[in-house]
Amino acid sequence: MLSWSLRRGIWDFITLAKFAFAKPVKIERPPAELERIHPKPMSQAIPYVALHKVMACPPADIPKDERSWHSIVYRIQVRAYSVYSPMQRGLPLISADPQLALKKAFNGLRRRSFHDPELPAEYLDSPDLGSLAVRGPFACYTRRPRKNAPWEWDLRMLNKYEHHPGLVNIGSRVLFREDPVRRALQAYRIECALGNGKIEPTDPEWDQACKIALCAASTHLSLVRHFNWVHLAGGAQLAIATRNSLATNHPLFRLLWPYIFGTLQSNDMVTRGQMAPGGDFETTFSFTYTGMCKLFDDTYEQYQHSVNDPETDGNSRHVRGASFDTPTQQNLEELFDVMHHFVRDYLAIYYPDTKAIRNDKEVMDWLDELNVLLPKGFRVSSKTVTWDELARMLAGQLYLVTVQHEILGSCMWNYQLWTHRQPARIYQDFRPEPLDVYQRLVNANYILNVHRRALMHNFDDLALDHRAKAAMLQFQTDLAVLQLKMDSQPHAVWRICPRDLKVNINA
Amino acid sequence: MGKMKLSDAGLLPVERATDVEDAGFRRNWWIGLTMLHTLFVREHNAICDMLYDAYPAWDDNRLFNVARLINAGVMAKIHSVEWTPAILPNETLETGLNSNWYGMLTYKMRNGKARKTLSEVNIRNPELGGIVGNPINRHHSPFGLSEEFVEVYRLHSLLPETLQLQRRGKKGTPKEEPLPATRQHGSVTITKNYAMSDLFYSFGNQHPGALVLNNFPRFMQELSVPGNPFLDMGTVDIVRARERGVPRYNEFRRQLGLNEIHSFDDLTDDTGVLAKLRSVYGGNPDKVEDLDLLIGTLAEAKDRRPTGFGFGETVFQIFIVSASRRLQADRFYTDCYNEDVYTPEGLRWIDRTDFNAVILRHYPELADTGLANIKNAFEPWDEAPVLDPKRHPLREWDADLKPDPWRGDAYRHA
Repeated sequence: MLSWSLRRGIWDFITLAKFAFAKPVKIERPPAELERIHPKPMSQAIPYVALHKVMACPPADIPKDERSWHSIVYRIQVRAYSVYSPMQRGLPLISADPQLALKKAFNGLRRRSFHDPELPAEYLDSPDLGSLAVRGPFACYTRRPRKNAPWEWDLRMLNKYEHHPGLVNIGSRVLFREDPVRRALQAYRIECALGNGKIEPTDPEWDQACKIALCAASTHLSLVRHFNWVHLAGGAQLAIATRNSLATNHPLFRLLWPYIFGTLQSNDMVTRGQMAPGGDFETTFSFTYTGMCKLFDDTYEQYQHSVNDPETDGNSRHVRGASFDTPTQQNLEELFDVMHHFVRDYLAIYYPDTKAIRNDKEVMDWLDELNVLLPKGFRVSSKTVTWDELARMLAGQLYLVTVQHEILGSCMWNYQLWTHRQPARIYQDFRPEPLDVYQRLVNANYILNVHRRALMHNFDDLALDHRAKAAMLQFQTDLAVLQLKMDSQPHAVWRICPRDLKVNINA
Repeated sequence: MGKMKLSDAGLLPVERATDVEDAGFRRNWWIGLTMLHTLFVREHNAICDMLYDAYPAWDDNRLFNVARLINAGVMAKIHSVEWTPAILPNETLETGLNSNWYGMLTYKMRNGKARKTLSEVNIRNPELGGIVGNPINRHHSPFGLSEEFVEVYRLHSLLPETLQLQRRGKKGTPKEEPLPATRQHGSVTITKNYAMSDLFYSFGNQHPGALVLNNFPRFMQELSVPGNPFLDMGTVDIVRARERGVPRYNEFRRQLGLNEIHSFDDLTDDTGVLAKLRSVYGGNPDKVEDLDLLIGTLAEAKDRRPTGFGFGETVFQIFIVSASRRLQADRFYTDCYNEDVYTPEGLRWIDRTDFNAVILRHYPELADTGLANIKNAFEPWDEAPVLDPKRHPLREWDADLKPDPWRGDAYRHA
């Protein structure tokens, strides 16, 4: 245990130092000229990250304006994985008492620098999957394939990917029925690796099946929806296309600049730290390095920009207009509406109609490049784009790096550390995680909460003229009004407020 | 394993013969009992899950019995440190009752979350170290609830005439449901139409009746109880004390060592009440010795009660003795309140559970309501960022809420 104390102390210190030294980036006016970025498959950009379908900015192409000394720290960190790994074999298990486990893993200066995670009410008892299906980060999985079909979370696809030996396959499907009196969903069956494959609430394995379902959801959410889709697919390709296709004094460039700044540098650093062999993802979640890489490659190609439009997304999942309460859906729509309103105001300054947009070659080139870079492209192409479609798509881009990144990333602080309900990985005998796995999970989530530039910051000095400045100021006012509205409601752990949002995905 | 039966919808099973929830008794069954029974059956089952995780080799019977013990501990704690201070919101009283449970040292030196009923250093003194976990003391007399206790616990005036039923998250005027319609089978009907979380939400937002004269529920004055003719419960409340020889109000006070009253004016300044008292018992001089115990205790004017008290000092004398003795005379809260009997997990469960946690554990959707905004679930579930001191008096001296006790709990995270 002495060697674990030393090992843990060093890695906790590194985490604390990263947290303490991370300051919100200053977003200045963009330089006049930008160098072109030539995206490459990740396996060429970072050879030890074997993703062949994921396109990334090669280290040599990382824009000068984004480069920082932080990347050196991450490179040293990756080296240290093999020299003095944060993992140690044969350690005891964490306490069965989640509060005690957390208290031991999140203590000292780290605990003073950031608030304790909140325990969602759904985790006070056997997890209420029905409530989680409409509140919080996992609400994005709730769908019904067609009318009159049962509501479900379907993550059976995770079984395709190689798991570490000794772990339970986490691919699973939860079926929900509507409870009209409670205006809620109620889970009535979980299809998973246990028993005869179909577990019901009266079965003794129900709690274990809930753990599998939540492990599947949190794994998919962290690896696929957060890192793969927000960082590598959506965020990176938006940054690359914007830098490559738009002049820095183009109105759309100025609109998007705060939202893309720092993305490429940050992605490079974080990919190294999390996806390297022996990195956070491989050592905390269920998948082997090979399984994880295959999952990333496969799901990268499934990314659809429409997930960044809660209205479209909600309609496609049939959640909008459902007979039960959908608080997270409403919350996300409120946030999107403010962004959409802002983009419409801003766009109207420079483009009176669709024709004006189609006459702007830079915008057309930008759309074309995004359509090439994004795995499934957009529904919006340069040939058919309308003013309304462009406004909605741009609002979706803002929403991607602000709201999506928040609900899938920092928000997980309040969910992912309660591994007695939502394990990061599941051992065959359902024992808790050993100390090193849990410690790494805590540290990885802690670092997701570094101080970053807030969305509710005035960026009007980036505006090209006074009309754009006015639109940006109005946006800040609208965010403040929404915040005020949310302030008049009791705090809820699942709710995302404008105050929580950061302007970009820069770590 | 060890669990109690609930329907698929998480409700109590309904007895076919009577079409009333099957809880073992039904004469005074109403929706309030349905709610609390359902809630604590669910709590029992959650405790069973916790115990089964920790002790998978235990059989059904052992799981049931230890879970029942832990659940009873949770209820005793809630009654001691939450319900009683809520009806008697007074700093001294709250300190006293928390000291009964935790001991004064733990109560004063630890914040709410860190308080443990059995502290690391056991002080064998009930005031400093708490009654719970210290040696049993029956004070040379077998413990039982006294007739005096039964008489002062006649709190029917707390019941409102109607329940204001509302659905969380929905605006609009609450539906006024006459309380008799929530009794017996009426309870089953209501739980078919309202989610349990909506019922708790409704109760959290409705005040009980005041314990004063002229506030006895009308429906209880013509009460229908299965197997009985209609009866006037108000009359029963008075007559029972007379039948059982419980002293009248003034003698009761004398025997408790309290000051006797010499005239009805010593009770209240309310001229209407005084006139009624004199018309019933006789005035000039006031027939104070005839005054019934219940009438006298309800007549004690609010401004003559100890600060914040929902009832007066006469009732309180009996209450406070019983509140302490029921713990002190029970081996399960004294000699046997330990890890061997309750398990370490069970003791931790009791320490970490309050009424708020019990409700949220089983109805997590209520975390979106005013319940998240208050510490004691018996307070009104107000949603505003700033809570009204008059409606939330307990917060004034709560050390955990300093420096701004009136900021709602739900807004402390912002």
